[in-house]
Amino acid sequence: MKPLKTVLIANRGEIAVRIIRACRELRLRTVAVYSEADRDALHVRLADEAVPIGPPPPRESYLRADRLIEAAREAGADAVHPGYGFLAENADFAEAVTAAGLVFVGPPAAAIRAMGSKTGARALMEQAGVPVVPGFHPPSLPPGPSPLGRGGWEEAADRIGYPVLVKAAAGGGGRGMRVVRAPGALAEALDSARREAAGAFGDDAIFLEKYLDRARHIEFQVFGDAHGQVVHLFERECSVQRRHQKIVEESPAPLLEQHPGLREQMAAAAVAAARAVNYQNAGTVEFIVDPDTRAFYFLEMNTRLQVEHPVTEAVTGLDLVHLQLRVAAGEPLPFTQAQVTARGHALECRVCAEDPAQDFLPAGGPVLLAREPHGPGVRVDAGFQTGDVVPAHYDSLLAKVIASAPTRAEALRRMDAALARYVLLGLPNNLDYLRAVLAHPEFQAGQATTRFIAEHMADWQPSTARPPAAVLAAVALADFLAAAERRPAAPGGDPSPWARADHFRIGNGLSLSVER
Amino acid sequence: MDFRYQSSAEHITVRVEPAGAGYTVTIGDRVLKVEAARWQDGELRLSVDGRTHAVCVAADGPERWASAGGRTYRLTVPQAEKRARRGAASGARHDVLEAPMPGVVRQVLVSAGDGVERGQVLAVLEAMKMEIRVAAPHAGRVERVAVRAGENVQRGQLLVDLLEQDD
Repeated sequence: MKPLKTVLIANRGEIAVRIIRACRELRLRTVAVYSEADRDALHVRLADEAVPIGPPPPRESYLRADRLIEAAREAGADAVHPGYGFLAENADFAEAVTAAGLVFVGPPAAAIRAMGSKTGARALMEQAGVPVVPGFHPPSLPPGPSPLGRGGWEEAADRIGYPVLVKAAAGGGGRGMRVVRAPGALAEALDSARREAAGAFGDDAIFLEKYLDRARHIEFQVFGDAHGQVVHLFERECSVQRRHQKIVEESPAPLLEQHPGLREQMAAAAVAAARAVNYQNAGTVEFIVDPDTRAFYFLEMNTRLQVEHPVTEAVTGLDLVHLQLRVAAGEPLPFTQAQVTARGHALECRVCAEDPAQDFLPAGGPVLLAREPHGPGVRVDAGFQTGDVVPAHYDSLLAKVIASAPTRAEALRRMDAALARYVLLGLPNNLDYLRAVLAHPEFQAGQATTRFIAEHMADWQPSTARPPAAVLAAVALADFLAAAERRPAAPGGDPSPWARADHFRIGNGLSLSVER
Repeated sequence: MDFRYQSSAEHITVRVEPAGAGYTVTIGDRVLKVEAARWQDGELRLSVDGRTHAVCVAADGPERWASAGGRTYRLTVPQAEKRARRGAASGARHDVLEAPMPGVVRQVLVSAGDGVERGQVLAVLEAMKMEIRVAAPHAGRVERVAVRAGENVQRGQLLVDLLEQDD
C-alpha cells in the first residue's frame, strides 16, 4: 500500500474538474496541466498548482506524454490520473508513468494493451466464452494512402456483410468511426476514419466490424483491485447516439429490467472479460444487444473511467473517482459483489457546444452566462463557469446533467425540468435538442435503439419562433440602459454600448438608477 | 430610442422610451408598459404590463442572448453588408464557402477552373477533433481556391469561391 499525496491530472475540461474535486475531498494535493488555450480554464483555477504543457493542439500538449511526466516530476506529484480520452488508454503512457516512479491511476499497462488491441481482445473473449461481434482486425498496416487492396479490406467487408462499421483501434467516443453501407463507399470511409483517428488519438489504426443497425448499447461498469477482486457495478444503457457519440445514458437499462436473467448473464460476461486481463481499477465492458433475439455481443472494453460514470454513481451511491484513487494506492475494494446494490433510476444528458441549426457543428465561444440547475437528484458536472471561453480545439462536451429519482418516469421529468432551468448563454448548445429526445414517445417508453436519433430526430429543427414580447423588451431595455450609462461617451471609447473592461458580463456595475 | 434585431430570418424593431418611473416599449403595434427594472447577476427582472418577468440577458459584440421560461433566444444586431456579391453572367451566382469554425485545412480537393457536382467534397477541415467535409451546395465551377492544405483558418475565412453553372 502506498498512500498518494499529490496527483497530476493529465486532462482538461469537466473531467479534470471532477478529478480535482475528488482529490480535494481525499485531502490530496492536485496539479493541473494546461495548453495555451486553457490558461484561464476552470480546472486550472481549481488545482493547487498548474503547469503549462504546450500550444493548443492536443498533439502538442495533452497528448505529449513526455511533457506530462516532466510536469509531474516538476510539481512533485506521485500519481497521474489520465481522465478519459487523450492518453487514458495509451499503454505506452501508462508504462512511462510507472517507469518514472509514479502511480498511474488506472489499470496496469498490460491490461490496457490487451484490451486496446481489438484483435487481441476478441481472441481473449472468445477464449473466455464471451460472444463477440463479427469483424476484421488486420495486423498493423503500413502508413500511406488508401489501405484498400492491402490486407483485403474489401474482401473482409464482403465476408462480414454490409453494413460494416470502420472504427479506430486506439480509442472511442465516435471518433474515427464510419458506417459503410455499400462497397463503393468503403475506400473513402477508410481514409477519412484513419485521418480522424490519427487526429484524436495519435494512432491511425482502424478495423472493421459488423454494424448492427438497430441494437441496444448496454455496458457494464467493472472495478478490480490489486488483491484479485473484480466486481461489476451494474449496467448503463447508451443507445441514444448521434453519429456514434453518446448523448443520453441511463441506468438501469430498460431492457434488462424486463429480462433480469439477461442482466445476470451479461454481468457475468463483463466480470469474465475483466478477469481475462487481470483488470484493476475502473473499466467498462461494452456490449451490443439485439433487441429482438436478446443475443448480446462483446463490443470492446474501455480501460478507463468513462464520461457517463456519474450514472453509476447515482444508482449505487459510490464515488468512482475516490475508488480509483484508493485502489491505485493499493487499497482493496471496500465492498464485495454482494454488497453492491443499485436503487432507483438515473439519466445523464451530455450538454455540448454544438449548433443544432448548423447540423450540430461544434462551436467554441464565450460563456456569457451559465446558471446550472440544482436540487434533489440533480447533479451537474461542468468544465467552465460564467466568463470562461470554451476553446475550439477540443471536443464539444460542455457539461453533464445527471438526474436521479426512485422511478424512471420521475427521473425523466426531473431531467426535463433541470434542462429547462439550465441557462447557458453565449454558445450554441443542444439543451433544447436533449429535451426533445427525452420527450419522444419511443424514448419515454424505454425502447430507443441505436437507430433512434437517425429515425426520429433527423428532421428536428430548433424553434425559429419570434421571442415573446417580454424577452424582446428585456433585450432592448438592456441595450437602452447600456447606451444610457455610456452617455456622455468616454473620449476615444468603443462605440459599442456593451464594451466595458469586463466585456462579457453585463449587469455588473450597471447602476440601478433605472428606478427613476 | 430604436433597437433593431434579427431573429432567424425576421427583422424586429423595438422602441424604448422613458416614461415616468419606467419605460414604454413598442414592438410593432404592441405598446408595453415596463416598470421596476432591476439587474441581478445577469438577470433582468422587470414588470411588463403588470406581470413580472425574469430574463437572463447577455451580449457579445452584435450577438444578443436571452433566456426565459426554459427557452433560449438568440438575436443579432444587423451589421452593414460586409461583402457585396460580385455580378456575373446572367443567371449565375457566386457562393462563397467559408470555414464554419477555426481549424486546419487537411485537404484541398479541387483547383480553380474545376467543374464540380452538387455534394462533391471540395475541402476537408479538421476542427474540434472532427473531420469536416466542405461540400458544394450546387453544381458549378470553382472560381477560386483561397487556402491550401496545412493552413490554419479562422471562422468565416473564405475557403472556396464557387460559381453556379447556369444550365
